[in-house]
Amino acid sequence: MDNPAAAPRSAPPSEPPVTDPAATVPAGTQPDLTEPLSSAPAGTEPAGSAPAGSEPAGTEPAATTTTVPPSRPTADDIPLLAFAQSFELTLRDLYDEAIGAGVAEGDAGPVFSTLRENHEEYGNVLAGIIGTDAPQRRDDAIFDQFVSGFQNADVVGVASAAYDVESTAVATHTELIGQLTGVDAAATLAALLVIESRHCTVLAHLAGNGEDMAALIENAATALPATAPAEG
Amino acid sequence: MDPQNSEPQGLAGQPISRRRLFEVGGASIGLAALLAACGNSEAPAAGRVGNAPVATDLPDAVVNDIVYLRTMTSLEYSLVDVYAVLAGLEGLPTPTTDALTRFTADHTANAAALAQLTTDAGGQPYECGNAWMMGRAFQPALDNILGKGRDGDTPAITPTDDANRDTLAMINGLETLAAATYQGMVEKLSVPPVRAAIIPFGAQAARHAAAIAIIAGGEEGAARYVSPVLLGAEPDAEATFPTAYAIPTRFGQLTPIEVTIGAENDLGLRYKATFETPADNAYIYDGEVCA
Repeated sequence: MDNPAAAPRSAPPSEPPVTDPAATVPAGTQPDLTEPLSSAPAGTEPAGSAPAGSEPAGTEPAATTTTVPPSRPTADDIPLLAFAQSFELTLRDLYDEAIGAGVAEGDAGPVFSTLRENHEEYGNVLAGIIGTDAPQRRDDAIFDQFVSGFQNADVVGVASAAYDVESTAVATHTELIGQLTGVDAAATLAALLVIESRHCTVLAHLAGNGEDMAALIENAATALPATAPAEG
Repeated sequence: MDPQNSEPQGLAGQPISRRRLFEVGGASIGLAALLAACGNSEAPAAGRVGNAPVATDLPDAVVNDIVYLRTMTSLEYSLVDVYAVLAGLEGLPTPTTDALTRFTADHTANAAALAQLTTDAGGQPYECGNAWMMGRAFQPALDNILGKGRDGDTPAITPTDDANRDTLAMINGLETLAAATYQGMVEKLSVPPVRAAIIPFGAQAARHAAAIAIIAGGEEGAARYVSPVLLGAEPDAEATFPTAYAIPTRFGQLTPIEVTIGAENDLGLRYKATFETPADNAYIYDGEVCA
């Protein structure tokens, strides 16, 4: 069975970005979306469909010049990923505040502890991609912005505060995906973002909004600007 | 004719002498050798029977961002199509029908947005369902909910014994599939802004799935928040219907999604539908048009 705690695929952190020199475009230019990335025989039916995420076996790259996104983060990606990692560790620390205040002692305890563990693991995975440049600490500015809602044992209050910051995290990671060049990091953010979105639904329900479909499934939060992690 | 005293007969019924037999035999061998020397050494092509048209090689199809966008659009339309069928089932409770109504509106809007992204990228939008996925995954699943009459050698399918249970399972499976599809597409798309444009659809689908998991729990919805596996428990391998959880895993998964639905068959088994994220055969290539 699948390991539910397994991190998505990622390359070793210390390798430099790999870019096909014959497949780059000048900085600042938009690649042509009509350019082929690979070719596959249309209408062919191999035994079973190809596994998700795989490219067709035995096919050759198209002969025309194309842009292949690098797998590893570029130099410009590193500060963005550092911000994402510090955001995740901020979320972990916020849940620690609530758990320390006693919110985990009730029936909802496993929920909050799971969310805390998830964010810590997201921080670890991002650190693996960033390498030695990983900040490995929370962003104190974000922490200070949200911490008051976490410093109590009231489940509804903490769930409401957590809903806000989780929604902000999803919006922020979405923005970062649009700025990252390296595929590995973008894919990792996507893999954690879809689960953080599920966090939001659970928190909305836990906060007493289970009858409000909009609260369960809509995200109206605004992304935070990516900045260097602030220290208190 | 006496078989003991018979002699070889020529075409004209004349007896063939031994000398004549050697002459004809020698000439035949010589002619065969001549024909063999004149032929080429290539293996003969397989014979053809009937009047089948000459086979032509399929052209190579290009896979690019436009193909991915068209494929995502087709998935959205497929979900709308499936939900339209499910919404027609009798006896569904209000939370289920409300979810179907809302999710249909969301997927309709997503399809329009993806069509616009396709146009913006210089492609032709594909504004109908994905025939590959519908035919191989979704329709067989629907058949096991609605029931289906005998079709040739294929036995009839009994309608489900619990329409609401199977509808919720289908929605959860399809929304999880949609979330996984968008997650996987982030890795495939070449332009970062396009990745950012599509991942909110994945986030929304993930929330749809989480909401349905909680709705499926009814009064015990809170028990569906977190998978016990994430809390250290072993999965319940004996369960006939795997329980859906709002937070099933720590990271979004790209693995096939299994959904158990339908009434028990004669062997006491139920249908297991498997939904996989679109791959080569399910892509909507350039030039493909709605049927």
